[in-house]
Amino acid sequence: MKKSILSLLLTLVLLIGSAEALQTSYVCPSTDLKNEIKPLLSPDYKYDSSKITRIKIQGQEGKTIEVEVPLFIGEKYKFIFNTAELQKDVVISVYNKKLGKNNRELLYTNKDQRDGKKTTFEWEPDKSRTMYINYETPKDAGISEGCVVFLLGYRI
Amino acid sequence: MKTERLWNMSILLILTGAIISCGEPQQAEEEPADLTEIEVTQMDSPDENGFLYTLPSPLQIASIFRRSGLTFVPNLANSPKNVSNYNTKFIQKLNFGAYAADLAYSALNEQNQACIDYVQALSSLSESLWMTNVFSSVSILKRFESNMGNSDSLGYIISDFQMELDNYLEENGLSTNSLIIFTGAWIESMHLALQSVKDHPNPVLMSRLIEQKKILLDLIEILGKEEKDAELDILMAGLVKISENFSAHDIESMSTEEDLAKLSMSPEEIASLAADVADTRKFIING
Repeated sequence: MKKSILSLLLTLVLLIGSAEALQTSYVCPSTDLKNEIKPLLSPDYKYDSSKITRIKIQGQEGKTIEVEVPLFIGEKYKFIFNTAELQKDVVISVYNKKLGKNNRELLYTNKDQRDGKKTTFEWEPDKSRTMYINYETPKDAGISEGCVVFLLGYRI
Repeated sequence: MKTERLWNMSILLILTGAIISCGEPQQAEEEPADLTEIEVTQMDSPDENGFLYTLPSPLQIASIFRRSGLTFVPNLANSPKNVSNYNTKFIQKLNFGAYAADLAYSALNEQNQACIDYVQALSSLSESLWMTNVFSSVSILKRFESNMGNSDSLGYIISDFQMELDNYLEENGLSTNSLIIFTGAWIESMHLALQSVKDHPNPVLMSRLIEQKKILLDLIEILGKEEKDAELDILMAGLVKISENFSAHDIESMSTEEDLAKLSMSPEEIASLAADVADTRKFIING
């Protein structure tokens, strides 16, 4: 009897430990994700910078994460996104001004390009100045954890 | 019997606690700090946590300056021979950035031997900073040697190197390092361009230098959130002093090259900016 209780408790402890490990062990494979989309820079663009944004969704509300991308005036750029590690339907949009500013214009969105399988999105802006990438999570997102890779190329 | 049971239960409780607490440090190790982890919250204002930035590569800044008329001046960049003078990690990171900017400057100006010297200086600093993998993964020295004289190819090699460096810093949770490295590169790039503009007025290059105000303000904001220490405080004070030279220039509202062309500084203002940049650079390259 004593042995059974001990075994049961040990199993419980191991299960709790495993669940804990599963909950906290998400690692974004950022290098692999970047390497997947790097060829899309060729032949006209060189790698400039990148941003890995980890998105942890907990709750029902739609949310937004904003990333500022300073661009130099008159230069040519290419935005490339890899969403393969995103569990939920996150919309990527690019604006000319920060969230909350007046006269904010939408410059790009992947809203109508998503088909459930597509995980790579590209955009070449006509004009360049500081831009703001918004990652918008859906309202009924539930719980998930993932990351999105943004890679910026510039033309020399 | 009762005591034995209590004893067993106590051991189990300790074991449970130990297993759970053992999981905690693992979490810290497995989640690199530079990955932008945000528990998503509704952003009603742009000031909430979760406001993030990207910073340009030193090569891009160097190429913009070069296309704006920056020519090569011998002995202006930090000497690769200084590499052995850098002892603290903070100064090593700053000079890693400064040498990366000097490498870009040399490559764009087809200074072959200087390129090799800077790659070797970077390689040496990468050992001090435990970043040797960055060099081995892209075989940068070999690629440089076999593409000498072709500035376009060298540009691609440097941009590959930048990506490897970014990957390494991200994977190892070293986002602060990338900020410090970038700051070293930015100061060096500004110094090279300002020394040229100071002696040979060039309105196009000057406007590009003033455009850098945005990058400087971002740097000050991001570095201002880092944990304070004596070396960072000196660097921050230098950056803030440099930023005061740009206070009269509103670049936020600019969006076209025509707007950019309107930016200018008087010779006195240029001299003041160049002196402030040179002061911060002294702190970096003198070690």
